[in-house]
Amino acid sequence: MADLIPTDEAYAEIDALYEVDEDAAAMFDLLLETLADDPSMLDRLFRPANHYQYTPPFEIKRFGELQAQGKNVYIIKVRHPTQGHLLPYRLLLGYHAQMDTYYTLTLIEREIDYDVHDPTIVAALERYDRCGIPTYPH
Amino acid sequence: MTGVVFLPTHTSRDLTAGYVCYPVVVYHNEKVQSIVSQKSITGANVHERMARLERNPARAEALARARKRLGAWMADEMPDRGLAALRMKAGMSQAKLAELMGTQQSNISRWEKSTGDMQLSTMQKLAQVLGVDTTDVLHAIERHERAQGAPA
Repeated sequence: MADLIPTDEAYAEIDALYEVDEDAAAMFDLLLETLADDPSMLDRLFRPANHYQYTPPFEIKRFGELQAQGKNVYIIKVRHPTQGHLLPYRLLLGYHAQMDTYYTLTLIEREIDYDVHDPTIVAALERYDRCGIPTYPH
Repeated sequence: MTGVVFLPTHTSRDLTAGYVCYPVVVYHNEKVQSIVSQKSITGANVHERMARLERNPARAEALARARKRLGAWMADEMPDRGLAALRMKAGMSQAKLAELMGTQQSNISRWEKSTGDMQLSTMQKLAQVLGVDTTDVLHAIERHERAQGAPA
């Protein structure tokens, strides 16, 4: 069963989010707590077929451009559970397949629009390497 | 190392037997140790962080609001998470519920995953702490067990 390891950097970014959007920050903390309490949720959330059965509050997608570079990065979008809209922040996860472990890499604003040259994404990739996640052949 | 190595151990006119050796990736021991220790330390940090946040009244309120929202969604969409949904609808973390019930968080975690060994007295206490009827707890358990027994 998969493990989830929140990095200190991502937690610091969530802390900063509390200062501007407390409810959004709480949703991200709750996501990480829920996944820590029940790692099987990770496997379930990553099963794409589930997304057609209901609208989950946590939506997970591959980060296509980074995966094409061999970086096993996923994007978590958090949806407001009752109002349905997506929160304007994204959590990036790196997946170490051999260790079956997900690492939280960074919390980004939606406006970054997955620009791989954005300094936030570049910093996330440095964390990816520091976590020891391999660059996979594509 | 790449490629495959064949080490013959027996050769006759019709047959050559031996070992075929495949390359394997061997992690340096220090690296494995580092990752393993990081796992256990950070796993504990999730709950330590939540406990710290809960001590700040504004953060605790935001977390309770988030739990209520998520709990309502889980109650509708994830029947096998029925007990967790009841807890979240009450705005409580596993740690808080464990504290109010006078038990360990690991017990709450276990009950939320598998309700099989829960006694009636525990269900009644759970209902009391969560502020719901015992029948709500029973229904959550029934839905959980139905969902667990349902084919994937």
